[in-house]
Amino acid sequence: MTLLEATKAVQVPAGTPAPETAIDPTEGSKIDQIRAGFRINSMQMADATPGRPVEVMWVDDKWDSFIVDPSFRKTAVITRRLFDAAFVHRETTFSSKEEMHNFRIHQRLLLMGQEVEHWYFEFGFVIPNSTNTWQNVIEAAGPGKMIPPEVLHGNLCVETLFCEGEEIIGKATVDILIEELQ
Amino acid sequence: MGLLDIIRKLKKSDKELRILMLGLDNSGKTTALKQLSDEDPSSVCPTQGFMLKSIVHNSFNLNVWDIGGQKTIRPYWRNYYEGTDALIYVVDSADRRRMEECGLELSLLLEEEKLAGVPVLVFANKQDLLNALPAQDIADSLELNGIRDRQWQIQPCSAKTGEGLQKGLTWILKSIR
Repeated sequence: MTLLEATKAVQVPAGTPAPETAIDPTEGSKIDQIRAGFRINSMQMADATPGRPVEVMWVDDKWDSFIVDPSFRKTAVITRRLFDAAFVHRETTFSSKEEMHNFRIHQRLLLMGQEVEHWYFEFGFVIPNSTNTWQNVIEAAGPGKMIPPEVLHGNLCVETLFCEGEEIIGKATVDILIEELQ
Repeated sequence: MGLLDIIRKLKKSDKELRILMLGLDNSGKTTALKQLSDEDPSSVCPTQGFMLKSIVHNSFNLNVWDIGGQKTIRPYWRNYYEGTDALIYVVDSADRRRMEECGLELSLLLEEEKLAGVPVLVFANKQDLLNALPAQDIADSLELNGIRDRQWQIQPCSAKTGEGLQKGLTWILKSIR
C-alpha cells in the first residue's frame, strides 16, 4: 500500500469489524514500548457549522488513567445543540515517545452497541517524542435524517482504537449523555 | 470562506486532496490552518509533531497536514511527502534574520523527488507586523523566479487577521485542476 492510499479518512460501512481489542500479553516488546510511551492528551467535540466560529462543546484533557487501563471509559455530557450542527468537529491529541510507521485510528459510533458510523484513518509515520492532533470534520446527516437526541442519550458511545499496524495500542470509549435530558 | 468552501468547489471526480503545510518554526502554519477553519487561533502552541485536519463532505476527503517546523522535527518532514497534491510553504515575513535559512529549507523541498511537480504556494505571512518584508522581497530572497519545474505563487497574508489566506486557497484550487 502506498502512502497515498494510506492517508484516506474513509467512512467504512457500519458493521465492518474493527480489530479485536484484547491485548495479548505475550506480544513482542516493541508494541509494549509503544504502549508505554503513548498518551492521550485531550479529546474534544465542537460545532463546526460554516460561517461562524467553531464552538467547542465538550473537551476532556484528563486521560492519565488511559495508560494503566486501555479500556478506560469516560462520560461526556454534551448539549443537544451539537446534534443540530451542520458539521461536527472531533479532535484527538496524543503523544508518542516511540517512532511509529503504520499508525492508524479507528473511530466508531455505537448506538446501543450497534455500529452506526465507522471512520478509519491511516496516518503512517509518527515522529518520536511527538505530540500530534487529529481533527476530523464530518458533515451531519441533515435535518430529518438525524437520530433524535432522546434516543441517543445514554445509548451512544464513541469508541476510538489506536493501532500500530495490526496491533492495538489502546482503546478509549466515551459514553455520550445529553445535558438537557439528564 | 475557508476549507469547507474549497471542498464544495472541487470537481465530483476528485476523491481526495492532500495539502502539506511546511515552513520554519513560528512561521504561523497552525495559526493559518486554524484561521481557515474558523477556529480560535489565539491559543496556538508550537507544533511538536503534526496536526492533521481531515474534512469529509459528500464522500470527498480534504486532508491538510501541518508539520512542526522546529529544527529537530525537520528531518522527519520527508515521511509526509508522498501523495501530496499541493505544498503550502509559510514564511514569517518579519523574521529577516532567518530568511536565508527559510530559503534553504524551501530549496531542499523543491529538490525532493516525492514533491516533484507539486504546485507550491508561499504564504508571506505576518504582513500585519510593521517590520514585515513585502512579498516581492521575499520572492527575491527565496529565488522563486528560478522555479521552472512547477507552478508557484506567493501570497502576502496575515494568519492572525485572516487577510490573504482565502486568495491563497483559491490559487491552490486553480493549480491542481
